[in-house]
Amino acid sequence: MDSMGKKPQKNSPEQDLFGSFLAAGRGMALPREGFAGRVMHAIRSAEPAAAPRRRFFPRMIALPLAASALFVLALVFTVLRNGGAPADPDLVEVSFTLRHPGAETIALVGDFNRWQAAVDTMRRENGSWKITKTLRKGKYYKYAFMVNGTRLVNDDRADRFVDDGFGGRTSVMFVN
Amino acid sequence: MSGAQIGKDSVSKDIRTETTRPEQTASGNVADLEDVRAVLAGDRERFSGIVTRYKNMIFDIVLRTALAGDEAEDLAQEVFCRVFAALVSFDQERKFHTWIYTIAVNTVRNYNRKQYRRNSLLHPVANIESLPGDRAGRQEHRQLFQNEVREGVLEILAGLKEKYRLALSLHYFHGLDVQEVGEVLGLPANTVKTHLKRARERVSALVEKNEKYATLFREACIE
Repeated sequence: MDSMGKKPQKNSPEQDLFGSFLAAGRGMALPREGFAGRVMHAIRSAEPAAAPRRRFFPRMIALPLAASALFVLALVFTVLRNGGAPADPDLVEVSFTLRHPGAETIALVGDFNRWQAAVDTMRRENGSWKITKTLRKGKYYKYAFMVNGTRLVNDDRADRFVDDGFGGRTSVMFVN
Repeated sequence: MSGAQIGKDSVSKDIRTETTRPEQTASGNVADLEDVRAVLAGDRERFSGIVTRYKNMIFDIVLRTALAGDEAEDLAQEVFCRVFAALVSFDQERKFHTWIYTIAVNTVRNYNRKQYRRNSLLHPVANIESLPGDRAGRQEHRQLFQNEVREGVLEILAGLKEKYRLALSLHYFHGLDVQEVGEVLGLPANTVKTHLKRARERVSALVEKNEKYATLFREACIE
């Protein structure tokens, strides 16, 4: 009996087992340092929450005409660029590869495309993802891979890694 | 161990833990709403306020319920990206913390579904930051012991059906009441109570069956 005259209650063995499990399971773990920075990095690269960009064109009155014109222009530009005058000697083609068989989509993001995930979508080849970019020589570029549109992954083969300013690190490549 | 009674939900509230969930004070709700409105107005940097307040909570629920191992942090990041993308649809009359839990739970369910299809459940022990209390100055054996305890807890959670694991984690480890758990999981309160009862029974059976974990948990309670 306690001081209040109540009979102390005794836990059943089952209750004791569950109680010990709960007590042991308190405060399991914290994310690693820099997690918030990495999340914000991804958020900055994400499309605006309410961006209605894909809905804009269907609402245009002259959609078929505009789309056709854009397609033709893009085609002409591509042909001229690939088959025309020699490229700028200060430019060089750089291939990026990431081995990630489980990914559904991967995009290359970095200083060169203002970290926009919709610009440089990589193509899958036997479990690896590849893309070639034309970049200016003599410059450092910060970059990363955006996996499945949500997760930023650094390049293990980067020349170096630097603080991304948000508590995380980001890959850096020197193009020469 | 606290020595609290465990049994019916009304009693077991005593031993729920609320260490991972931000305090749901009036000012906390106001801060959430202010950040939500600022982000929707175009200031996405304000999303960092939401991340800061909820990062531990989201990471914890993902770790306990997705059993994603080393991918837990990636999954937690995915939750925040989904929250950001869905912010425009957030009903500002709702409690923000239950809404964000709902998104986390849906992300976990999607992940588990994919894992089930792949039939490759990862080892549940994540590459996680140690608890602050485990940092420098502590003995190595203590850290090993803590890791073993965590491994045991995750192992037991892995032995539960997803619906029980979710209900148990939200109620006992995150401090949501039965109504809130029902709101997050989309279930009536009575169903949640049944899930909790089954979860308790299953956990007790699993702990009893594995003497190693039963001893570990008892020792962890004494520490």
